Amino acid sequence: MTEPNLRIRGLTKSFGGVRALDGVDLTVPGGRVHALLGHNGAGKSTLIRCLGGAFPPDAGTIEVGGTSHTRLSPRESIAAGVAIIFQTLSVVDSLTVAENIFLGQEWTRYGRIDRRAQEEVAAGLLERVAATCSPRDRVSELPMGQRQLVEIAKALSRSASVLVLDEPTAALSGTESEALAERVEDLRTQGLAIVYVTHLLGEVERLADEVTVLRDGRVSHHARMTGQSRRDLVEAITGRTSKGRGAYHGAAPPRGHDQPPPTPRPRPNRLTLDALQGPRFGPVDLTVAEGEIVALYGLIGSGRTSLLETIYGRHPATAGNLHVGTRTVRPSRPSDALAARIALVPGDRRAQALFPVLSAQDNALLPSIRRMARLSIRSTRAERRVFGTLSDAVALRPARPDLPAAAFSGGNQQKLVLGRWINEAREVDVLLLDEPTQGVDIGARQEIYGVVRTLAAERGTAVLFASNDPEEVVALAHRCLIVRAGRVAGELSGPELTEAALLSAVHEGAA
Amino acid sequence: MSRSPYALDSTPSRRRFLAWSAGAVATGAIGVAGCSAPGGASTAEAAGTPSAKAGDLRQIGLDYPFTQLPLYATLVKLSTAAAKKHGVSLLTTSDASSADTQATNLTTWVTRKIPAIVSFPMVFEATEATAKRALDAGLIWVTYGGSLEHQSADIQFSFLEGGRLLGEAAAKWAEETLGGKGKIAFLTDSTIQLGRERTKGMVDAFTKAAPGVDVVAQEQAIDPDTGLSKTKAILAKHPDLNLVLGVTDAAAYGGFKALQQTGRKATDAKTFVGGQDGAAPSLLAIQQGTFYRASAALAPQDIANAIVDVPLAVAAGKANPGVQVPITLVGPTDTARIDALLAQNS
Amino acid sequence: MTTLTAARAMSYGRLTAVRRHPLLAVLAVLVLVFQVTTGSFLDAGNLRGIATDAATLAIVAVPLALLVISGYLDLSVGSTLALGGLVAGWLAGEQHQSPVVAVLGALAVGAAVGAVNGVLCCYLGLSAFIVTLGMLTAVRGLAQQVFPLPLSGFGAGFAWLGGSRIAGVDAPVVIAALVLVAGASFLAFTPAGRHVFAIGVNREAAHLSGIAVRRAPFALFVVTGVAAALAGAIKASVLDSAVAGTSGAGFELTVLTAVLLGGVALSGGSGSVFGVLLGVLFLGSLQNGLTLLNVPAFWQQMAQGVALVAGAALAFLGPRTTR
Repeated sequence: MTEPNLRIRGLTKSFGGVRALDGVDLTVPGGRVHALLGHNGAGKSTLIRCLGGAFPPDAGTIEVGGTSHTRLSPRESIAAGVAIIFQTLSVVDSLTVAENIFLGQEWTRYGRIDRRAQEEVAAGLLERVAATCSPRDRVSELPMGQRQLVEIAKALSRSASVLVLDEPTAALSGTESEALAERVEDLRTQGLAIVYVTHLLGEVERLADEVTVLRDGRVSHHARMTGQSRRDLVEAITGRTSKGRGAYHGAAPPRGHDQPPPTPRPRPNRLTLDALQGPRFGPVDLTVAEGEIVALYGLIGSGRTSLLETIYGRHPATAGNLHVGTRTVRPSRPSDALAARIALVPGDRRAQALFPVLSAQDNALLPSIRRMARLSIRSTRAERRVFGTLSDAVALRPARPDLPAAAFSGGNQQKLVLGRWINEAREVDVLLLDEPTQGVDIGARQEIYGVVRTLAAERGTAVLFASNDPEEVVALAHRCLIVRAGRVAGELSGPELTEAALLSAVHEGAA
Repeated sequence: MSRSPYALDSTPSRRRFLAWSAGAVATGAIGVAGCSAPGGASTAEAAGTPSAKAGDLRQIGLDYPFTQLPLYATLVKLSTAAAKKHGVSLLTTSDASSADTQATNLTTWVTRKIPAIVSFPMVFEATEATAKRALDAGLIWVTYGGSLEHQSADIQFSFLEGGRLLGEAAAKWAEETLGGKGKIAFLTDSTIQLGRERTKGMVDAFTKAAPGVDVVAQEQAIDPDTGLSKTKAILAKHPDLNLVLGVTDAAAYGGFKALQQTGRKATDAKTFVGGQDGAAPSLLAIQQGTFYRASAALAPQDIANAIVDVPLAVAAGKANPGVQVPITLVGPTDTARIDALLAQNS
Repeated sequence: MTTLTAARAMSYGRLTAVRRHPLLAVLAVLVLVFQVTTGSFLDAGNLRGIATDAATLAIVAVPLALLVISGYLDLSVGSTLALGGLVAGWLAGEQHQSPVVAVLGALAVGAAVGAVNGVLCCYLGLSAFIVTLGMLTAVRGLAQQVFPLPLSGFGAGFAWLGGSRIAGVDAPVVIAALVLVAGASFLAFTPAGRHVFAIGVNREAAHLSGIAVRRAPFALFVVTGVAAALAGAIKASVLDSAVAGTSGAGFELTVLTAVLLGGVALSGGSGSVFGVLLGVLFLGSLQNGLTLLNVPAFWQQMAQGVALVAGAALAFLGPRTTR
């Protein structure tokens, strides 16, 4: 195999002045698995999306099977032999397995879809990926692991020579993950070039022939896997030697100044979960003290989100108790939780939090305008004033109350959502945050951390947040609970709370 | 949805129009016994086919598709009573003014061999095949409101004649009251055959008999709402409008209200409104001596009698069993007839 | 969010009335053309006619617009209008009740229809399209069953509703003006008015913000039912008659057209009462002007269709309004 299947050279891409990719090289020959590692926002997804044709790179070349491209459309990408299996699969639930595999490239006979031929070929492809489903099954009835295999079979049907797997095990069970690992090994023997994106070092150790680590849009590490230790990789990912909390590469101010000192104990507990159980988690016991910031660290699907949403009343708790201060509360809907002074900033901003066409002011204040109203008439003056104070407090940019939320950056949208619960008209005792900085740029991320820290320090708000980003956990939390399969599997605090410790803690169970 | 999708649609859909014209048909007077049969092909097949004798006919199916019309309820009630006198039971369909539903229901009846079917086809051409199947199955088929190639007999109405009666009466009034001068607006319908016939009868008769009267507008309108807004618009341009003639009583009633709302007294001597159908609100207005002065009317009782008598006549093997339902003009002096019509409608 | 809408969003806040409501320009052109060609379009008498015609449309269009903004839809208003008119006419005519009782009776019936719609759509979560389409047929059937024959002769007292003048303005127009002001005030000045937008834009986010996402749309279903019945009573009063089978037939699409032309997005979350007023006036003027011009029926149909598509295209080019 002289010519590598995939060769990326000097790939560069900026978004509004922020370099997401900066001269990245990546070479993957056929029959090799190349692991791609890095923090959220390190540039992995930008790289994948350039490869898939989602947007054109500013500079650099993408060479697939010997043909060089400076930019690709999604169609050209597929035609060149690139197949990307995203975390959120692109199979169509309402169609059968065979229909999905041949979607957009249907086999026809006399102008009609030749079902029989499609199903025969599909059966062969499914066998190649060792899927147990039948070509005639509806995708909606299949478990996640099988759906993923269907998508891989679809890639094979298009004679892909480069297969990109984006955190493929994030939504899979342990046995499904194991089965997938075997498939990846098979496909490697069949000569595909595989790019494997993951957070899980165990998977890297098991599957990868080579590894590339991205940090801040650059390749921070590239090596053959032989002789790599887990420690080398962690250092490459975090960009520092594993000595505990360190400054996040030069840009941010030294952590010591804005990091609150470890909370002196004992302080009264604001939030107490007493063997709480709900969908996909529990029983969970935990406490968050007044002014304390506690992280729930775990992989996607570990039950973090479900736990937070249950505390907030979006799902009913099936057992256990929930106390705010000394009161027992049993929220059956979000408004109950709010009445108990518990608020949630949801994880999926677009689907669960934002009103894109409504103004910034509406986005921040809608839940509270009734409180500001007099005799059921809105007090526009009070609204303006509260919004003004709020936008200063969270450093909203631009600070324009009338601009629709859609016109703001992700970070500023998140400030609006966060602002709902921390303004003059509405204060809460317990603040729940689910992936507080997902899709938020570095600068706004630091600002949001600042707001949360101030809130805890000055108002004594108990903060409980979920994250799968070790860096974020170390930067923000006083204490971290490791969540695995819906249970608290461990706790890290003080000097133990390091990115390395988090990475190895989570991989123990999953890899 | 066959309804016109935009607002204030003044041109009613075909369906609604049909619904209306069916209403018109309803009101007619029918001299069942005395009527001469419409000659020719329509009755030619009648003689040979009937398999049931008059005494054996126990069921008549009435398929009147415009269930949203007041006439539907009236006809069902009156013809059920008429049938009962002959020991016949009456079945009905619920077509809800849908030609597709009508076709389905008729097919069901033919399959179930309902011995006599009286049907008002929404689309005549589309019903031919069903009628033929009914005849082939030895059933009696009576066409209502027109004639088909395959039928045992028919019940007909002259729409042209109704329009002509109204037009002539209005022209006569214009000559006598206005000295042959003035302004008239017609509320017309041009969407289907029945409407065009009524319109033509009304407009031609009037313009021929009162050539000195200015025709200031001919506007599509069959329901009161449209009649009201169209007449208001016409009045904005011609406040001195004298006559409004409607292709339906409903539309004319809207015109009647528009004139009153622009300040015309209900008894104004120099105003004439007239319509066709013999609808109750119009009959009441005529009875009260308002400037709503005429309606070309059919009597529901006569139609109901025909619905029962024509199939019985076919079954008995009578020659020329079909009937033509005559239309008469009702004016303020016809108090007895108005009372009779209102009684039939209640 | 597409780049187009984002770009529109960026320019928000610096918009003139015409840019925010392109239909305003279309309406102005339409009025100008009709005035020049007919010479009598802008006569007081004609404008009065347009206003009374548009009044019933506006009375239903405003609450329906609010309902659409909150992400729902009511197709049953045509039948509710018929039932309301019949009940009011029956009470005033055959039962010799006072006009007030007659109107209140109609409103109660409208509220009941709206409540059924609201429970099924908001609390049981059924599709508003299907539910209200079903109710369109069911309520029409009910009206015909209860009132198989046309009603007329409702008496002088009842004629007051449609025929009297208050300070020189026809009563239906006064009522419509009150409804328009109430609708606009609700959206602008009350917390619930803002919540309606939030629910329409993102129901899940509104729920997670602690907003009661069922109560407001339910109330709007009831109000829409009441408004349709009120419009029916007004029409019955103006015409002094009501027919179960044909009153308000097709009205649901007329009123929905006015709402959509007025810039209310069928997907919810955007629209304004002023836009709805423009939509209503556009339809009223178009119909009236074409009649004044004595345009033959089929040409009128074509002209109306073309004007409608043109109006919709212009409304599409405008920004989404959320106040």
